[in-house]
Amino acid sequence: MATPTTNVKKMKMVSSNSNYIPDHLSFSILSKLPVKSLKRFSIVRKSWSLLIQNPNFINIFRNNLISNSHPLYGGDGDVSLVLNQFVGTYDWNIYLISGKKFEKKVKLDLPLPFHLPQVGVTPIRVVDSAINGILCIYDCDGVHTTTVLWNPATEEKIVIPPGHAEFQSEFMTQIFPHGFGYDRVGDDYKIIQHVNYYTIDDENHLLHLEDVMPDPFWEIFSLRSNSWRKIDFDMPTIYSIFNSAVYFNGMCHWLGESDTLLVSFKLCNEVYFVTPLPLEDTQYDDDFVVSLTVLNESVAIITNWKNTTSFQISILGEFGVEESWIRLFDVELLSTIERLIGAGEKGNIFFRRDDGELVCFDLTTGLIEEIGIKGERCWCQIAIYKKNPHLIGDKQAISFPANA
Amino acid sequence: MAQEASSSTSSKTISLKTGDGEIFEIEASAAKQMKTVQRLIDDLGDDITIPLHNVFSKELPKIIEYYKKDITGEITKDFEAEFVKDLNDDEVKVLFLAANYLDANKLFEFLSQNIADRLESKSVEYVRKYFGVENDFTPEEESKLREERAWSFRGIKEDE
Repeated sequence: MATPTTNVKKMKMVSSNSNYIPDHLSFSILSKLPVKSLKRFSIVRKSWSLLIQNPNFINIFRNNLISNSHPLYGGDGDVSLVLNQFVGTYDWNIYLISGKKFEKKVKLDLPLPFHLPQVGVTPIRVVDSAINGILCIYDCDGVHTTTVLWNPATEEKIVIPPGHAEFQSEFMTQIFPHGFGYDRVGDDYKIIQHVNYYTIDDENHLLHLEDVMPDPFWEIFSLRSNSWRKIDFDMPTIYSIFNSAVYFNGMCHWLGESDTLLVSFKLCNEVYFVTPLPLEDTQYDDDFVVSLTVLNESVAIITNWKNTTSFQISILGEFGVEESWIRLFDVELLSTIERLIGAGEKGNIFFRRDDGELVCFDLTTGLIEEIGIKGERCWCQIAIYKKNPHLIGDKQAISFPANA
Repeated sequence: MAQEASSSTSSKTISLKTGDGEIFEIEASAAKQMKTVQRLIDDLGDDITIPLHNVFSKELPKIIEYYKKDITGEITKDFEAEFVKDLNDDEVKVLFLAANYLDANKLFEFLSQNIADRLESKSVEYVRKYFGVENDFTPEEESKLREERAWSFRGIKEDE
């Protein structure tokens, strides 16, 4: 900032044209803009267009991004983490974790029927923002699907009724919830899921046989009406079961088409966007891992080659626009990480390290903190959790700022 | 160099004189948050009226209001929202430049964010006018860039 001399007589004047803001001051403002505005304003003048490539500027832009506390959390404390820990088949736990060094860990008693041994994997949809402490838990054993909305603080449990899926002995039914979120316009909690029918061939491939089986479809559940409704259009389905779906600000996002596309589904009007991921040719590879998360209001992907020590983070500027991805971070760690398992507040990213420990990497400080819990494979998830003492349907339970 | 040990009781006030000749009082602890003012106090002593040639009577009271809240630890999101609610874009700009002159970092950062929020959906022309800068691209260069970044213009009204 400008530092005038302290000699009273020779006081240096800031430009007498009070209309002009010099670049070094403008940059303070620009570094706080969202990606779309920044790209647009890069054509204001030449010095601004070089801005986005300037490492110092990117640094400030990055720091602003991760240090701005997420508006939906309100910064009024009481925000912790929920961890879905996969220990082994039939063995998994859900923890609530809090404390700067993750000292406080409380294992939750799961609601029926989830504390009974189940077949199959059980992803939690924990809404990444203030869906007020409600977890959507589901399990599918190939025949029956159980989906439950659960508030651990009040122990209130709502069992979601079955949708339109058919079950017959001639084929297998796969039901996969892709997103759970809050529709602010309709003041409603919703779940979007995909139903597919298949059989398994000799090589253990899943086959959908069109003539023999009903068509796959999407359906959406509304808590208000307590019912499912089929959707008559198609969208790319999720490829990886874990860490490729998030909810944020009225939209459910997931990675589809073998993790090459981002699908963004708006809950209030059922409009969806497809954004190709910014992948290079070499990255269309099973050993290249893409995880989806939200970093302080921006949808972000975290990418890494399996069993290496580095990862990259890119954020999305505009839905549907491949060129609007901005690469923000290239991080080199000392230990090998397997995969992202979630993002916390500010600059906290959580990983499973190659020794099984679940760790937190702070993007601002570059430090790693162990949570003190191990997880099997990458089938663990962490998300921000804000305790909600109200009932799920209670109107007062939902407290969003006006522009959420 | 008059270097008086300030009595640093919280009731000590400093007199500030604006560029248009008006005098305002501010508590010493609030003055500390404005590094330019503090430097002047260090040089001139805290009993003299501190001259601020580049800050005027329109904006200084607003700045003083902000730091009054700051020293009692009462700056909340609600207060900040209320603080800028009735200001237009140009009034915020004047405050922003004054905060820079006074080296008042907290206010400067807050106003930077507020201006960024106000400009988010504006057109390129509006931003040029606002910052008082000239377009130094040739028409060909500009239209090429506009084409490349067409997606960032979606939904933006050009003449705002």
